Amino acid sequence: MNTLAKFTWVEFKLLARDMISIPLTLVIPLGLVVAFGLPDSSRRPDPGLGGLTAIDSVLPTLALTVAVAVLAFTVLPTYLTMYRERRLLRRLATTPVKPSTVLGAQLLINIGLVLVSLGLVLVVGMSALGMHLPRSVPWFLVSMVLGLAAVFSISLLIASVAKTARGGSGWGFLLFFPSMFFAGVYLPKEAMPDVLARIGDFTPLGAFRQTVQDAWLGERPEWLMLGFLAAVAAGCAAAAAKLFRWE
Amino acid sequence: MAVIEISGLAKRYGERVVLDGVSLSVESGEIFGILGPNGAGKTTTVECVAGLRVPDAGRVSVLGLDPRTQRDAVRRALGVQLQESQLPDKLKVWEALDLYASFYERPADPAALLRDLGLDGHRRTAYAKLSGGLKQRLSIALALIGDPKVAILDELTTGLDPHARRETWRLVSAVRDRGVTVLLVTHFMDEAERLCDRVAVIDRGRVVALDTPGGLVESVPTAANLEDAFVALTTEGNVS
Repeated sequence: MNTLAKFTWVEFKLLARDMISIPLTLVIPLGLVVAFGLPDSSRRPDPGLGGLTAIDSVLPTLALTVAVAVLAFTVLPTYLTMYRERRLLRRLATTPVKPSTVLGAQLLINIGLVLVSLGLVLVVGMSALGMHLPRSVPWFLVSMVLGLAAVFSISLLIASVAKTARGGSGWGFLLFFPSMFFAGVYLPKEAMPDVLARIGDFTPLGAFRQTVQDAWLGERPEWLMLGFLAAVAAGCAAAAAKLFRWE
Repeated sequence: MAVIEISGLAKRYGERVVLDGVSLSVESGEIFGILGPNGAGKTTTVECVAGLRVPDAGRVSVLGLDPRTQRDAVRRALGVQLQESQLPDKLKVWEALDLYASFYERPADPAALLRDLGLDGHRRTAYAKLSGGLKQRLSIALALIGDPKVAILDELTTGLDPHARRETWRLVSAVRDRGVTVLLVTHFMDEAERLCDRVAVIDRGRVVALDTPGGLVESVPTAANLEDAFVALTTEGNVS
């Protein structure tokens, strides 16, 4: 097995042993979809959502947004900064391992978990709640790739610069709550004042949710939002690579 | 043949001069000790050897390689045990060895290392559940998993009880018997006296003496043992 594969496998086992992260990222998103999706009203066009059915618009993207936010803003930065604090990264710097392997393993696990969480939502949603697959699969894939790249590159940036685990989770939480707000997790965007909703479109998590939701409805996401996500991803990834410290 | 050569090494952090022209060379197959008071520059010296720090001036060569420009080659040939480096709590002993083995093209046999270091019965123990002595043994095992020519061991026995210290000394001797050259950083006199073939005493960023432990004692007329010689040779007496 090569180093990246082995690293990823070991990190996955460690994450599984903490008994919280994995259940949390799988159960909460699914729970939200089931709780809000059970009433029949979720399958009827909702004037509050501009005539959309919740089960094929805001609910799957709500689940996805929460899973991504938990992993990118809390789990990943906490793990990597804990490794720095314990001088484990420094120890690794004396071996032939490259920083990209260490970061890559974390990304693979976290993005893998997002996809598993999404898969669970789709299986339960489609079999029991009348959910449909995204109508535009190509735009869905584009939005997923750009959105995950943007949010997780922010996550890596936090992990690259925070010196301690406390600092890493602190920065993560600082971004976690406003990001969730602007992505319409607490209050649907459709119920927000237009200005707030529009600001939300240009936060990384908000743009991610909106573009995925557009694709789910079979529409092409706004170019501006896709471009914004790509720019955030490129900028933060470059900064993370430049600022990464072993210690 | 010199395995590690250091000449004129200088390093400052802001105003503070940490290394002020350190020169020494470590011969193949010896246990070479770096001894000095806290803050004397011992760790910074070995960090420059391991390529973790870039010196302001001077030259380091490890097996003829430059740790700065030939990082990868040096990392493959060097096994390092760092002060205060901890593994994840829930990582098991065998997983740590198996993971670190995957970093190297031709690693040592993990099963044999576990046996040699007496970790056989703890293969499935999580890191957090290991005693201090066992953690140090695992740390030595990880330093040797790449089958290195040179091992750097920094403050290996700090915080260990007397039994665990003696056991660790036995292991370090065994490491040398495998043909590995050992660079040992310590501030324990008895450790240097017992283990090292030669010792460099570093004080305030300079090598103030370099000899066999016996030679160091003889060089100071009033010294009855290495500790006496050390106190006479170094300025600050803050040895723990």
